[in-house]
Amino acid sequence: MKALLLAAARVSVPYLLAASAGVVSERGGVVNFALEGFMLVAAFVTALVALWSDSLWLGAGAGIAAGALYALGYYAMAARFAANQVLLGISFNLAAIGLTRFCLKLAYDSASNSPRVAAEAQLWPLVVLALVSTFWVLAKSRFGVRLVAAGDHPPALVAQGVSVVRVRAAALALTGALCGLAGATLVAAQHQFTDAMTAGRGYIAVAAVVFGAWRLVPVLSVCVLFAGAEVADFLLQRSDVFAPQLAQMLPYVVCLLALGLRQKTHRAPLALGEP
Amino acid sequence: VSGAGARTAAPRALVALLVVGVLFNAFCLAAGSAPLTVLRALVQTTVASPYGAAQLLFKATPFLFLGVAAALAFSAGQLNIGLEGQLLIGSLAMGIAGTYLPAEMNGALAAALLCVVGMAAGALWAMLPALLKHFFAAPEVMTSIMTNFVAALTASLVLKPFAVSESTHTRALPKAFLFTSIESLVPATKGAQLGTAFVLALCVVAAAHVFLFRTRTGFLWRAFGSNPRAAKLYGAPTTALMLSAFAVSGALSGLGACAYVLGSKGFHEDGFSGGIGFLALGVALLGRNEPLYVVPAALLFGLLSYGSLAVNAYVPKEMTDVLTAAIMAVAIAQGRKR
Repeated sequence: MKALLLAAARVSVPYLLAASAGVVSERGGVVNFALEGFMLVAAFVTALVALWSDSLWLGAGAGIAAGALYALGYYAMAARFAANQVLLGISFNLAAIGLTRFCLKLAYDSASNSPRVAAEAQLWPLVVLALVSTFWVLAKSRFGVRLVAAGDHPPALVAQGVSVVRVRAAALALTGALCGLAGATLVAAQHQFTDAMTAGRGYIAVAAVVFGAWRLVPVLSVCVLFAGAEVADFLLQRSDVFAPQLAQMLPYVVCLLALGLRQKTHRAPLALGEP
Repeated sequence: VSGAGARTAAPRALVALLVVGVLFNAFCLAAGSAPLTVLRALVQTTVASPYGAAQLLFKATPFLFLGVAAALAFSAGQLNIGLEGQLLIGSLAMGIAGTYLPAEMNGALAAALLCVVGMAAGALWAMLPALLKHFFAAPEVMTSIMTNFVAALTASLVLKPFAVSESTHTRALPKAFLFTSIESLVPATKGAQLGTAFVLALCVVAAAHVFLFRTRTGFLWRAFGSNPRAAKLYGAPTTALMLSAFAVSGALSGLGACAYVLGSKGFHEDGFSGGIGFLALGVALLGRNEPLYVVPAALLFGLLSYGSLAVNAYVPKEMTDVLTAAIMAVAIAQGRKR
């Protein structure tokens, strides 16, 4: 049982980080389907730097920076052009898959994975710190208030003389950094970078944000539910009772059901997706 | 409306070309190859030979089907991101149904029947996000993305009892069922996989254009897409429009499988699609959701797709994945401002 709980905790880490990243971005009014891509780019950079420097900490730092940079690139496109942010996010995910594959070929001459990353360092203190500070930023800080204003009613910020673009850019940098840490934990857990290793976690995180009605605590609880589905899938695969495909489907099916059953009373940020 | 498209399509293509050019140079230099050498190899192996040109058109064929599928759904305001799953399920249904048809059956009839099966399967799969949206107001963007993952796993699960042992594909269909290949008409293209599917795709493009811009229902689709509330007040049957947009989009995605099952491969194979359903969203966007403009967009994606194999010796072929994604981003960024 203890092992099971530990497994659930470990599995839920990338979901928790990516979903809080999604909350930060979407509360600020920027639709974000690109969490998947942010994580993937960061995971690759983490592996690259960790292998080069022999330090997972350095790798994670570089991964976080890369995630933040990629997220700022996303916001630059989303803000400058009144674009469809859903599709823009998907194009950034596709670019991330291509880019990491391209670099994987160049750096390690492999189409599937990097060499083994020694991961003695424990990233979990950083994860806890990141989650707690995200909560603090959203709930207690002045920036959090501005963020929510940017998401619900940007003119209020303008009236205060605060730049909406700057608030949102800062939010996206935080989003990217959180996704970056999520990517780094994936590399630390699997001891290498593998092609498309995020495997839809970014999309599931977005679903958690919607199902949790854009509030951090409900969203994180939903993430634990999804992570539970992934652990169950792992157990079911071992048990041989179900076909492995049926078990692997579980997180996505839970997610589909969740989207169908979500409460309609909670509202999305009012200015979500508006430039 | 089509006039407005014509005005903005040209600068969009230019910007896309510029972005692609810059990235292309960057990737070539990163891989230590001279960009001009790579470009020459790209041109020589694609448009400069009959075989290469035929392969380019073959690669463009699924982009035509799925590009039109996405364009139609987007025109009606439905963000169907589930094309990949609908294509997979269509292919699976085609491959399995084909093995049950009597081998002595009339080839053309069998092919037509299988196309209908693929369309029906794709449309049914597309009903999943559509019905979730109708009954539970679930956002179709997210549910349709999830159905891609579920489709991939479902397809591999269902395939198992039908697969040839020790493989992940269905039994090969009788030769008579398969589409005519171009090599029987133009000997110089020997080995190319281009066939009837491409002609069928062009017919689909023409039909979609006529439907969208020359029929009353097509007008309602576009009205619903550009302003759902106005369409509702006008008395348009919005539920029927939403469901039919998903059904048609899913059917065309499913039909796209014919390029593989009845064209190049002759059977359904697990995981054959490799993300075409996502790239096709870029085709539709670059084509400004207009079926006719989808054609040049699909040709460009086909060129990059086939060209990537041609230049793999100089630059890792994954380069073109980034290029196509960049084109997609540019196409989105130049979308209509609100």
